[in-house]
Amino acid sequence: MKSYLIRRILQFPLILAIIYVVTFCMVWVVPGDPFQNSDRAMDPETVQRLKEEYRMDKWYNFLTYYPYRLVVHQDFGPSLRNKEFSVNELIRERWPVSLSLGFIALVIAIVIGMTVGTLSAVYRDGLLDWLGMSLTMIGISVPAFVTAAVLLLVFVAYLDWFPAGSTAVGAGLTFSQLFLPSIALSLAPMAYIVRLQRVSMLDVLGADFVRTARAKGLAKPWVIIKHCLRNAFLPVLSYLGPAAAITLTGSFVVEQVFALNGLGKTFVDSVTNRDQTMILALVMIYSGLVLFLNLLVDLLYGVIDPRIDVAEVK
Amino acid sequence: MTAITPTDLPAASLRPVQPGLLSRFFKFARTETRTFIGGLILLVIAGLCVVTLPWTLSPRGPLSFEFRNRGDERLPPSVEKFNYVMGTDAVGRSVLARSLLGGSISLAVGFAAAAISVTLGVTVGLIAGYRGGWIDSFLMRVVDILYGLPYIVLVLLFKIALEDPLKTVFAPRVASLIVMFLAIGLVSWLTMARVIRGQVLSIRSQPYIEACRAVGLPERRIFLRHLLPNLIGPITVYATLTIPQAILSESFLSFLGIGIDPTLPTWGALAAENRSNGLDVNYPEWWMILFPCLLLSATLLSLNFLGDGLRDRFDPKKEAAKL
Repeated sequence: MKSYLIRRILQFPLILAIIYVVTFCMVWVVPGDPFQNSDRAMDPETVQRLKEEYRMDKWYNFLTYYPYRLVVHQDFGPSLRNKEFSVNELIRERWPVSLSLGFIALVIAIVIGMTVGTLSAVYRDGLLDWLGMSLTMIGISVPAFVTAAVLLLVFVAYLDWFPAGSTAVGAGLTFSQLFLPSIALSLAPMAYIVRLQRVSMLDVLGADFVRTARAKGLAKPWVIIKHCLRNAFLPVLSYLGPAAAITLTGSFVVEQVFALNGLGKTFVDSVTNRDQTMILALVMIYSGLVLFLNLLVDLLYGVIDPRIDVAEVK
Repeated sequence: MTAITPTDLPAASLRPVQPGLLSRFFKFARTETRTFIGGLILLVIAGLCVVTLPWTLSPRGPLSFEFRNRGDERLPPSVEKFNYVMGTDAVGRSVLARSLLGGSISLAVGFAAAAISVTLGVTVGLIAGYRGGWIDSFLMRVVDILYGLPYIVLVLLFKIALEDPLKTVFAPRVASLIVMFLAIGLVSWLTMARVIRGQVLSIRSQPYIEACRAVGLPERRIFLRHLLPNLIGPITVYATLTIPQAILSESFLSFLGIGIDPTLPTWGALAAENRSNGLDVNYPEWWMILFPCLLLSATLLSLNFLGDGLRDRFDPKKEAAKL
C-alpha cells in the first residue's frame, strides 16, 4: 500500500509537467497577446519592452524561467494583464471565495443528493421516486444561469431573505452571502448524485445479503443505514472526484450572476485576455486538484470497501 | 382479471392480428413514455423553429428577428398580434421571432457540435480499442491529458485559435457560428471515445469474433459487419446525450458574451441580453427572459429524456444515471 502511494505521488510531477507543456503549446499557438489592447494600438517599441520585461520575448522562457520560478519559489510570476498584481496574489485573493462556495455546495449536494437518492430507491416507483427523478431531470437540463437567476429573483428580489449586494471581495463574505450561490452551484452535482445513488442503491437492495439481514430480523432502516449505504456509495464516490475539482475551482456563471469575484471568472478572463501566466497557473491548480482528488478517491475505495485493493489492480 | 385457460391460448395464437399503425404507435407511446414525450416535445420545438426560418430571416416582415417597431418597446405578451405573443424586448423587437431564430441557431450548433464530437470520439475509440497496443495507450493518454484540462479553457482556446482563419473564408456571422460548433465539438468527444473504446474491447473478446477469425474472415469484414453494427446502440445513445451538452455549452458561452456573434440571437444570448431587464424588481419584464429560458430548458429536458429512454432500450444493463 505504501509503495503504491509513493508510486502514485511520484507520478504527479511528470503528469503535471506534461500538462504544463501541452497548455503552454496551446496558449502559444493561439493568436493575440496580452499586451495588445484591442481599444488602442500600442506602439511596437513599448510592446517589445514590455515583453522583455516579462520575459515574453523568448518562447523558451516559458519552459525554463517560469517553471524554475514555480518549482523553486512557488511563484507563478506576474499577471500579464493585471500588471499591478502577481498571479499568486490574485489567486490568494480569489480562490478562497470559490473554495468556500464550492465546499458548501458540495456538502449540500452530497447530503441532500444521497438522502433523496436512497429514499427514492427504497420507495421505488412511489411518489417520492417520481418526484425525485423529475426534479433531477430538471436539475440536469436547466442551465445554471437560469436557476441562479431564478434563485436571485425569488429569494433576494421578492422574498428579501438574503442581502442583495454581495460584491464584497475576499474574506469579507458572510455565510448568508455565500448560501444562495452555493445552492445554485450545488444543483447540478446534486442531480447527478441523486441518480447515481438511486441506481446503485437499487442494485444493492436486490442483493442476497440484504435479504439475509432482513430475514434475521433486522429492521429495514437499520439494514439500509448499516448494510446498504456503504455498498452503494462507490459509484457516487467515483463521480465525486472530478465533480469536486470542478466545483471547488469555481463556476463562472454563478460568480457572474451573484457578482462574486472568484476563480471561475478569472478562468474565463485569463483566456480571453491571453494572460498566459494566469492561464498556466489556473490549469496547473485545476489539474493538480484533479490528480489529488482522484488519488483520494482511489484510497477511499479501499476504506469503504476493504475488499478493493487499489494497489493490486494497477 | 380472468384466468387464461389452456384452451384460450392456441385460439389466440392462431389468429395473428397484425396491429395497425395507429395501435402500434399507441403501444410505443405507452411503453416508452419517456422517449416518446421527449421526442415529441423536441420535434414540436425544433419543427416550429425550422419551419419559421423563412419569416424570421427575411429582413422586412414583422416576424423578422431584427424588425423593430418604434413605440412598441417592452410590450407585455398579448394574443392580439401573433408576433407579440411573447411580448417585445427593450428596443421593440418581437421576443417570439428572436426566440424562434435563436432556437434554430442553438439547435444547429448543438447538432453540428454533437456530430463532430461523435465522429471524432467514435473514430478515436474504434482505433484505440481495435488496434490496441501502443496506438491504444497513446490515444488514451491524450484523452487523459485533455480530460485533465478545464473544459472552458479548452473551448475558449479553440475558439480564439479558429476565429481568425475562418473569418477570412466566411462572412463574420457565419464564421462565428462555425467557430462555435467546431470549438465545442473538438472538446467534447472525450467521453465518447472512452465509451466506444470500452465497448470495442468487450466486443472484441466475445466468442463470435473469435469464431469469425477462426473461419478466416478478413479483418475488414469482421470490423464492418460484426463489430460496427453492435456499436450502433451506444453510439446513438451517447450522440443523443451529447446534443443537450453541446446546446448547454453554447448557451452558456453566449450567456457570458463570448459565444456567437452578438448580433445573432441564441437562447443563451437572449437570456443574457434581457437579464438586467428581467431581474429588475421595479420593471418586472419577466417575458423577455422567461420565454427563451423556458424554450431552452424544455429542449434540453426533452433531449435528455430521449437519450435516457434510448439508453434503457438499447442497453438495459447500463445504469440509467451514468453520464
